[in-house]
Amino acid sequence: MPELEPAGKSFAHIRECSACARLLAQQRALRAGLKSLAKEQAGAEPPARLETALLQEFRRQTHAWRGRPAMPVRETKTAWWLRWPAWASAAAVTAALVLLLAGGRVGNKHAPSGSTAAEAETASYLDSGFVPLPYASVSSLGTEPDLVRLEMPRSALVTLGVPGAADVTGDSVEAEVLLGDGGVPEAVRLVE
Amino acid sequence: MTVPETDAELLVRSRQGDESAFLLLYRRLESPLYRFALNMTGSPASAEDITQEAFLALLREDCGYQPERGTLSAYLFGIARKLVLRHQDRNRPYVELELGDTEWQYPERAAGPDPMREILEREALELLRRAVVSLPRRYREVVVLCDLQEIDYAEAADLLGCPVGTVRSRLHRARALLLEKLQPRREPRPDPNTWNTARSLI
Repeated sequence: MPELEPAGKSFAHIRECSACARLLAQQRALRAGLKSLAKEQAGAEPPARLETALLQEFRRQTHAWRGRPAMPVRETKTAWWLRWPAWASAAAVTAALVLLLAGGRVGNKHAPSGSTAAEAETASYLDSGFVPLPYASVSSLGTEPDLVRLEMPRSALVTLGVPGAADVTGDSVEAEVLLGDGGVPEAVRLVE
Repeated sequence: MTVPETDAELLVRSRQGDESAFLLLYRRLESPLYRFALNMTGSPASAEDITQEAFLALLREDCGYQPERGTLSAYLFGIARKLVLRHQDRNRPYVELELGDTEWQYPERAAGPDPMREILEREALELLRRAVVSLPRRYREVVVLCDLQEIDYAEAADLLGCPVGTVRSRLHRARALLLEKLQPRREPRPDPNTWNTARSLI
């Protein structure tokens, strides 16, 4: 509380006025008391059982989420015309995907059949560093997902939580996108 | 050099099922949140409940955090503030201070160990703690954040969602109220005008 300290000629008044001197003494006592209280409670931590309980809940929730798309952090709802930069970026990415698809499909094709094979395929992609895109259904990857490589804004990958994206320098980075049925982007990973 | 991940980035990873990210986020934010709840309610059990509820809100499917609107820390404090309010509705918020006839004093610092001083200090701190808990919520919040958690005015303003000037004025009023509460009952309450006059002199 530095603002409670007398300045300049106020010292003279404090010496003469017992009411102000008393008030100043009270303020100083209050300041000392609050400082001690702050010091005393600086070590106050929540009990360890709280962390354990939260982790248990986290695991329960994660188990419930499994097989569903990753839950995104909600975005602010703004009018579409106010979001034109994001809209334009999305259009650019889509155009790039279409061009790449027109230019030919990239490898990584396998030919197992049946839903178990598709699930195993999906799991193998997720294990290899692909992050499911928000609202994407990784089950729609099927057994023959297409893989395309393209440049994306680094910030978009960071927002999607792609591992390592935050550490990359530069505004755009090379990423690999897995396309599901109908050419819909389903998962993305950073090209190292 | 690796730049540490922001809270928002950790939240995104947490919501993708990354336990280590959730743990890191929790360990980063648990202490200030718990201390805030503890000082606001005066109850360790309530503080624990409030901290738990706030973090559980991050795990819910309908988590309403929007990075564009502010920091994750401010979002969690916002939840904690609502829970504190609910806690107050359930419990009697008024804390009676029994000061007796003596004026509240914080003992002067002694050169060496002084058991008597320690007793006086403990008593004085207990009274002060109860006086803080008995403050109206908006004044208690600024005392807890700025004086007890030693957070600067700008960050407190961010956490409370109000201008820095409001934090300053509330803090000024809160300290005056604390002094008022710590006056012995037999004495007449200080005239707020006297306080203002004295305040303007120093």
